[in-house]
Amino acid sequence: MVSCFRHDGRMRWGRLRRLSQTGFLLLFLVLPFTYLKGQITVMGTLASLQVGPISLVDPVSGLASIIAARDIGWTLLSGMILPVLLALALGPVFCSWVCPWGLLSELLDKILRRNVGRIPSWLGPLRWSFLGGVLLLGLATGMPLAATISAPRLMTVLPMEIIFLGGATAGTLGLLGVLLILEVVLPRRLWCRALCPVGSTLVLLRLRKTLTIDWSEPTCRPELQGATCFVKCPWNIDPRHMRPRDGCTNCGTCVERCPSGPSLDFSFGRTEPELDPPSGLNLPVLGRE
Amino acid sequence: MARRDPVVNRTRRNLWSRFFPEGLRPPGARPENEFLALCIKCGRCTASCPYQTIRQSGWEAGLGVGTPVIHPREIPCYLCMICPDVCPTGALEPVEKEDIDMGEAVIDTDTCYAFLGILCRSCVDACPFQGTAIRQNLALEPIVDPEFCVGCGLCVPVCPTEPEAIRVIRTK
Repeated sequence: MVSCFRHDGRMRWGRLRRLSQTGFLLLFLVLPFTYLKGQITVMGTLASLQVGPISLVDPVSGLASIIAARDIGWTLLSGMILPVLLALALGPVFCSWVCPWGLLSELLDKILRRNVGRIPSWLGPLRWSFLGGVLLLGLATGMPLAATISAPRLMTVLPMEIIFLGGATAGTLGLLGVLLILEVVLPRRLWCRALCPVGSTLVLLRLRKTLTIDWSEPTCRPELQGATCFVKCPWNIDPRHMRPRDGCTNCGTCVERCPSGPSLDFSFGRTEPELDPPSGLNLPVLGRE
Repeated sequence: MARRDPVVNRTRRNLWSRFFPEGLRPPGARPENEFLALCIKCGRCTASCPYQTIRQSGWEAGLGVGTPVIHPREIPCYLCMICPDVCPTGALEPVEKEDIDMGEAVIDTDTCYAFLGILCRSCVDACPFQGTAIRQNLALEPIVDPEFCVGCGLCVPVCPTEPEAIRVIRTK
C-alpha cells in the first residue's frame, strides 16, 4: 500500500503532488468522453473550466483578453476571482500541483537527467520582460497571445480535440511541438520557470503572507547530506535563501527531503527576513552569489 | 451574384488573422475583431456543442489559431444555443435565434438545380426560418433574404449538387 506519510509521520508531499498532477491529467482525459455523452456540468480546459455553476478562468488568459480587447467584461472578471484568490493564498501551486505541462517537464527532468543548477541572475528580468512582451504584443495585434501559448491550455485542449472532435489540429500540435523543442533545447525547465505567462502571473501574485516554505536555521544541518533541499528542488531554488519572486511553487519537495528533520516547512509568510544574507553558520549557499 | 462575395469586403478584419470566409464563428459571436481579441481558445464552446459542430481552427487562421470555427459543409449549426452561454470571455454573447448573424447563404445560380429547371427545394425545406430566410419565387427558385438568414448552414449539407450550390459566407 502506497502511503502518503513517511515512517516518521512527515507528509510525503512528492507522492501527494504526483497524485494531484496525474489526477488532473486523468480528469482532462476523461472529460471529453463525458462531452460525447452530452454531459457538460464539468467542462472546459485549463484556460477556462466550468464546474457546475462556477466558472474559472486562467488569470493571465483573462488579463490578455482584457488587454487585447481594451474592454473589461464582468463574466471574465468573475471567472478570474477564484484562481487569483487561490494564488494569493497558496502561491503558484497551479504550476506544481495541477499543470500537465509541469508534469511532463518533470518527467523530462528524469529522462534527460537534468539537475540542479544556479538560478541565473537574468532569470527574473527574463520572466518579467517576456510576460510584458507577450502582453504588449497582444495589445499590438489585438489578440490574447498569452492564452494562445499557454502550455496548460494546449495540454488540455489536445485530448478534447483527439477524443471529442476525432483529431488533433495542426495548431495545437504545432504549438506543443515548439514548446517541447524549447523544453529540450533551453536550460532546465526554462519555460516553466521564466517564460510561461501563466506561471509568471501566478508568481507575481505572491504576497508577504502567501503560503511559502519557511526555513528554521537553528535546526538546519546541511553537513548530514549536503543541501538536499536545494539539490532536489525541481525549480532550482534554494529554499533557505529565497526571495518571494524566485518562483517557488510550494511543491513541497524540499520539505519532504530535508534530512535534518523539519527545518523546512510550509508557512504563511517567512519568519526570517527574506533578503537576509547567510549568517555565521557557514552554509554553502549554492543558490546565489 | 454567383461568385461574388460582396460581404467579405466590408468585414473589418484583424491584420494578424487570416480571414477565411468559409469558416463561420459560433452563434452570438461579436464582430470578428472583438471576437479575436476576447477569445482565449479555452474550447468550452467546442465542448458544449452536442453536434460537434464547433471545431478548433488551425494555422489557416493565422494568429487566430485555436479559435472556434464552424464549417457548415461538414456539420452545420443546429441553433441549440448552448455555446453562447458557456463562453467565459463574452466573445460569444447570448442572443435570440432570429438575431444570430454567423453569415449568410449564397446560392450559385449556375449550378443550383432549381435555377437549371430541375425541381428541388432541399435547402428551402432544411431552413429553420423557412419562408423568410429562404423562400421560393414564382419560378420555384430558392431566394435567400440576407435580412433573415442567420448563416446556420443547415441548407448546405442537404444540397444535392456536387459541390454544393449553396454555401454560407461570413458577414462580420
